[in-house]
Amino acid sequence: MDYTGCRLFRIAAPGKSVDFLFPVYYYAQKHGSAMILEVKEILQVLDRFIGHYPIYFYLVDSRNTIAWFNQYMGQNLPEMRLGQPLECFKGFSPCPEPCAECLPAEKKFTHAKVEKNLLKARVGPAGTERYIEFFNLPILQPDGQVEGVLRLGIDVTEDEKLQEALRETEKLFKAIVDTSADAVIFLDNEDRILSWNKGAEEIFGYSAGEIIGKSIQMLVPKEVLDFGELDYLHEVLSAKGMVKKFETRRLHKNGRTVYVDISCSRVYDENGNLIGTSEILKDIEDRKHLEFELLRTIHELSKLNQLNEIIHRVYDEQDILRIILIAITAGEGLRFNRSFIIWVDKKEQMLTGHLAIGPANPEEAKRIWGELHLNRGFLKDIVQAYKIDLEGADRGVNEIVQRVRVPLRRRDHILIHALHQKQAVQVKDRQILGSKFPALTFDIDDTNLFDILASDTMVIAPVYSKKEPLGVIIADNSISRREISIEDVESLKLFANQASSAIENARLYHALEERISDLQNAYRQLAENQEKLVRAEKLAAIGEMSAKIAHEIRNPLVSIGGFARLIEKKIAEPEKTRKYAEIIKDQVDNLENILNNILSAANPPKPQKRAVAINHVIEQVVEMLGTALQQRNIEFSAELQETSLPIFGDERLLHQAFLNVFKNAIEALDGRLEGAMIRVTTRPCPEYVEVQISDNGPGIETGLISKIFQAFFTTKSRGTGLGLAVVQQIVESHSGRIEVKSQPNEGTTFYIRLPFATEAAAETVEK
Amino acid sequence: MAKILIVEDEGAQRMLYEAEIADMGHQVILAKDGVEAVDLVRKQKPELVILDLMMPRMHGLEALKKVLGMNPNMPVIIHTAYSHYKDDFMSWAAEEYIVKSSDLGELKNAIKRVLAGRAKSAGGRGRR
Repeated sequence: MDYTGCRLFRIAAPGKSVDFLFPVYYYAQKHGSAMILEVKEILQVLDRFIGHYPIYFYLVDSRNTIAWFNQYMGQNLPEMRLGQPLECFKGFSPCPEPCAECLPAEKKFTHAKVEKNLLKARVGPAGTERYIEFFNLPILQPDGQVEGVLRLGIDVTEDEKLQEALRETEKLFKAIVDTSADAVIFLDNEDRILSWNKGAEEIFGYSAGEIIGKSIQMLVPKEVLDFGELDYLHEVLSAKGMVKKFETRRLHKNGRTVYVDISCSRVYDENGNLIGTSEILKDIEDRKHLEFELLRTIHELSKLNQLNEIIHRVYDEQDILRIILIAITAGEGLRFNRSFIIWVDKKEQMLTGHLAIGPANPEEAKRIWGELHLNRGFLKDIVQAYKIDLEGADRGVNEIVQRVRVPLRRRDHILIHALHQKQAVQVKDRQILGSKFPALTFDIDDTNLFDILASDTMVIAPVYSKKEPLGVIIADNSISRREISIEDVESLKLFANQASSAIENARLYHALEERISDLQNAYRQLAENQEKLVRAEKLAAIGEMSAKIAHEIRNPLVSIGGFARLIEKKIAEPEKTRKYAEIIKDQVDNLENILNNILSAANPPKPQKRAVAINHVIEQVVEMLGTALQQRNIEFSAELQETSLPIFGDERLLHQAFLNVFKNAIEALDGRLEGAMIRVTTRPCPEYVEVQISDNGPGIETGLISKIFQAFFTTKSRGTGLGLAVVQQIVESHSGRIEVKSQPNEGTTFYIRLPFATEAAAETVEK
Repeated sequence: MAKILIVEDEGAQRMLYEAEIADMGHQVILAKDGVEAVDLVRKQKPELVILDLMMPRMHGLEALKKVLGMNPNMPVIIHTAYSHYKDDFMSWAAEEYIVKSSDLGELKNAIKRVLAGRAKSAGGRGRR
């Protein structure tokens, strides 16, 4: 079968769908009514199969009357009648209102070509309004004459409703776009502008007529274009399909740049082909302005903060004033041209010009700040680098400032007013800004502040501590004539406040420093006195010692000299002479011992150690003291056990030590007429030898035992008080220990423990 | 010839003074501290006391006080190695204050002076 010229129709109904293959043209075998009959018959058969589908089917003959309609149509359109003339091709007869589709008699079938018509009809028993799309299938004679039209209708109400909704949406969308304050534009693939809304016109100044068809590049500032921003946006679009809130600048028709944020996305048709880019540009000029303002404020605050830091790190008041002036005039600082400090002179009760900074003319200003700018870094470097040059650049202003002198009592004077009210004052063209000021004068002597400073516009800010007003700062822009903004005034006020606190800190610091220095002086004096005291004590001690030594030496000398003279006289009496000589010998020994003790105490000798037999040393000492023991009737006993090992020590020093202990015992027994007794024992222990020396003298008072080894301590009427101190020093230099036990009225025992020489030590001795 | 009490704690010096003063022709009695000295002054009634100061048991100045308490007219010569007791007003009660020396000449002169002065006026007091 030849399907050429056939067309496939898909009829879709809720729940079912059917495809029809229909000929575009039907070539009838018969003519006239016979042909219609032929078609009718075919359709009637067809209707049996498809009658239950929601399809409208009817036939219009050459006389433009309805020749046949299907069951479905009959059920849903009860007004349909066979033989009824079709008045309107668009609608059903009768046409509800005359339209272009209504058929005048002479134009019959001229519309009978293959076409679609959308009809709106009231359908079904309820008369619901439905959209039906009709296809015209002309029925032709073989010679091409139109014999009739088969009309096939499909209910497309759902589609149509969607379409309508879409149209509504589009309308709404268009309205939104049109009324949007943002620029909503559409670009084709070559970045040409295809649509341009009112918002775009508002923002960029171009009307739609002026710009549609032009490239978007005409809206991009050159530097932004050179920067490659459009390429960048294309890249992002390619990668992500969209760009969100990209902040940049665009050009207004008048050449001004406008800050915008751009959101754009690629647009594709239903087949997925890229057809362009939609772009929304939001005017963010106001926001940007606020942002800049915010940034500026932050910058300003950070600047003030920096200055604050600098100024609070300085403790010299003059230095602070210098920094205040520099900070007020530096480009990186508050950017005033000139700055003056007028300070309170308490003695004179005057407010007096103190220090100033600023160029004499614009050239100089340029030079100064240019130099600083060259090697500028941070504000703190500039502040530190710049010195106020009273002889050079700053000479002029400093001469000027010296002329400002106002008595503190003049409360009606602008400067005194600002000082006392702690209030910054802005003066413009010799007028105080703000109305709350009472009538204030600017006079200074026979002239006035403006003429002295050669400036009519300035800011005056007070500097004060918690306790008292300190002075005022005057700042102006008399060189550049730049207007003083509210921000400048605020900055100066804030800075003056900080300067105030810095100066107060500095003063506190100095007060503190003075206190510290007072304390240091007091401390030094105390230390000196202490030292003097110590020296005096030492002198006293030396005095005491030398007195003792002198007297101790005097006693044996008296004996020696005396007996020597007696020997001279009694040379003929051998018995006496021998005795006197013995006394002389003893006294010389005594003197020697005194000297040894003094020397040992003053400068302890380093022991020259070698192996020493301790019993031998003790025996020598006892032998030496023999006469003294006999003379005093002291009973002496010794029990010296043999030791297998030697002591590693200095024999001479050990001799001195034991001699002192024995002498101490003998002296303790002085005054005891009978029964006086001294006993010495040596007893070897595993690691040391213990020497006990006991006497039955009066003993030591319990409270004094701890003192007996102290130098210069003595309970005796005679003696240096060095003996036992020297003993202890010598014993300890031999790694030994000395202890004392004493019972009042019973006696005293000294325990001296000296370690045996180790083999290693003994060996060293051999070598 | 006088009876002289020598008070001296140091044995060798006692022996020296005994020998020297006996050689001058005096009778010597010895005490070795202040306590003994006071005792001997009471018992032996010496005509002159030669008194050391730095002594155990009783200091010489203490002994001096006691001796003069018993006999206000007892002549005493302070004989000491120390010179600073001259500043103690108690020592002014002694006839003489002699600082010890190996040359006993000064002491001997003092003894002669005191004994001579004693002989001239029995009631004279005070150190010159």
